[in-house]
Amino acid sequence: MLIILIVSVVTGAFLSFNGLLPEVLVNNNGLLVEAMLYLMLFLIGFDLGTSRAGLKATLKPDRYLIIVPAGTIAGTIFGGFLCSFVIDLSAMDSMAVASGFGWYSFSAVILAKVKSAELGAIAFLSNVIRESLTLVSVPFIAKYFGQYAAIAPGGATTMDVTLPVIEKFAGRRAALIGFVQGVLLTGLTPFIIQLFI
Amino acid sequence: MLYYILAVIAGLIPSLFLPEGYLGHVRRHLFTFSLVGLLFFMGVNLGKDPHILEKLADYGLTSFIISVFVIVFSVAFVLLFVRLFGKKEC
Repeated sequence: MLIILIVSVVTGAFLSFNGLLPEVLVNNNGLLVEAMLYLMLFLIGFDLGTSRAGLKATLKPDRYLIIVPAGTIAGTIFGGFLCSFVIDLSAMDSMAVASGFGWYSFSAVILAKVKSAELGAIAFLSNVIRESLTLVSVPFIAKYFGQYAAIAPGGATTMDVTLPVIEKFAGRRAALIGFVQGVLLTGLTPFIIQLFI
Repeated sequence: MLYYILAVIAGLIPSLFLPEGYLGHVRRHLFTFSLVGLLFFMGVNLGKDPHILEKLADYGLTSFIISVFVIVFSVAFVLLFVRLFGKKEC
């Protein structure tokens, strides 16, 4: 399954880069991504409803809905800080880039506007790479470090793009926590990024 | 964001009135289809930027290092927080 996922991304990028796809598909790409997302989120809701035991577990108050996003935020910022010792960026810039939490469109635009085009490009690439590495690494992280650890790499993308991979490899409960983490981080990212610019 | 939550609720509400495990087989195939489609179109989005290769060459290594640090430490901190604040196993 993992190979199919990687091949899907690479094939899409290759065909699009070389102009081998019909214009209509490339131009309406954003719309198609949204359509796939809605179908997937609908199915996750449907799956939850037809599993009564899963639904009961989901509705219970759960401390992990706070613990996991808190760990993701702290680890992301700390990782960004430590990173500044090995790359040519200040600690604040490095933490600002990390604070995109995988939300590349937002972080790139904000940092390009407020700081520099160069930092915007780094924010874009770094957060795209975070999302892509998440898609590839979640199966391994879920297997060797457990369901909670598998939610961390996705950051704010766990409410959409990386949610299906979490559901598939870490289970329904992890998908629920992942969805909540995505909603929380999407709301918090604009505030957290402000701390470092 | 609100629409994402509404999509989950739109799937959840009708399924509450259906038997447990209803259409499980069809659902699994549709789920795989939506996942593959999502990733394919994400790739299309990356590939349609004509400067993607130049950007990768210029800032690729720095961006990659940041991503790896961020992923490694977010996993480590979640494991640490779960150990510190999670339920103790009996």
